[in-house]
Amino acid sequence: MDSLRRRKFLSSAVLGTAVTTVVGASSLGSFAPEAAGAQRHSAAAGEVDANFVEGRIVSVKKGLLLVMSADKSMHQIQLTGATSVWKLRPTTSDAAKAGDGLYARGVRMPDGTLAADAVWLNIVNLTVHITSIGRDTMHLDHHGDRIVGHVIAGTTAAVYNSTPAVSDLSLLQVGKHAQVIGAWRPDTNEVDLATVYAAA
Amino acid sequence: MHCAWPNTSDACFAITRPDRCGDNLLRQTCGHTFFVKGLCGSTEISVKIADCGPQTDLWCGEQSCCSGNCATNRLLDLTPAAFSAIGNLSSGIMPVTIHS
Repeated sequence: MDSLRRRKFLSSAVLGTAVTTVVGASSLGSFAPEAAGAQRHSAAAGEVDANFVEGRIVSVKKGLLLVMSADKSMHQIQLTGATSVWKLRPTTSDAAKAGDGLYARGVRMPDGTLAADAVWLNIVNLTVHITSIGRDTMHLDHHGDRIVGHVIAGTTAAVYNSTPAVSDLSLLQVGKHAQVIGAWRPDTNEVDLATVYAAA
Repeated sequence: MHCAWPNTSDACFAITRPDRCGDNLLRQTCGHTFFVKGLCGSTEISVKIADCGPQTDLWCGEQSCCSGNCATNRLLDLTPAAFSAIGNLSSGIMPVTIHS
């Protein structure tokens, strides 16, 4: 990508570059007086979670991924038959390719390898404005960066005002804001669209 | 693990405007710790504020539910590490409870 660095592309503007991991994911919240019965996650606030890895796949060999993070650190990620794999949609471990962006969560083995419970390949979560809508593509503005969104028949869905996801994208409107979950096409400014959240 | 909060400063609040959705959020600045639990699970994470966001007023009234339990309005952004500890990144949003 020439004018759009991948890290910026993956990032949600609200999180920016101030944090070590990027893609923003929104939570809808309410305040609870207590959290009775909650199981506390081991990673502390503000600390790096050792059971999470982000980076790009350098190589793939028999389900073992070699991944380089943004800080140039290298990680081994072991995929198994039980690993949940997402690449635009739920898929299988053979979808992982060298060059793919990756988020992985799992458990560290004694040798440092992360045994992955789940991996997300090329996933992006972007707040955008829709600048044009075509038959199979949408042009999007992500805080000044132009992105081409590809509509994938049978996969791309829209969520309008919290209603269940539907394949009908006809209610999306040029000029409106949206949140896009999709799969980045590595080294491009193009995204295959999984879910488009749109407000009224 | 980190998060973004819509009321970290006057400048932040002027952009995010959670009050337009009826949410009267306390001012909390970078470094403040929240405890967050997804309504779909039992795991609770702790996150520190590292930025301003989300732009709550773009999504007033948005609702997300899990097993009949619902939450309304976008009040918090989580980093992927934090989000994936309590939910599936591919969902993009999830209902949570938050406390300090």
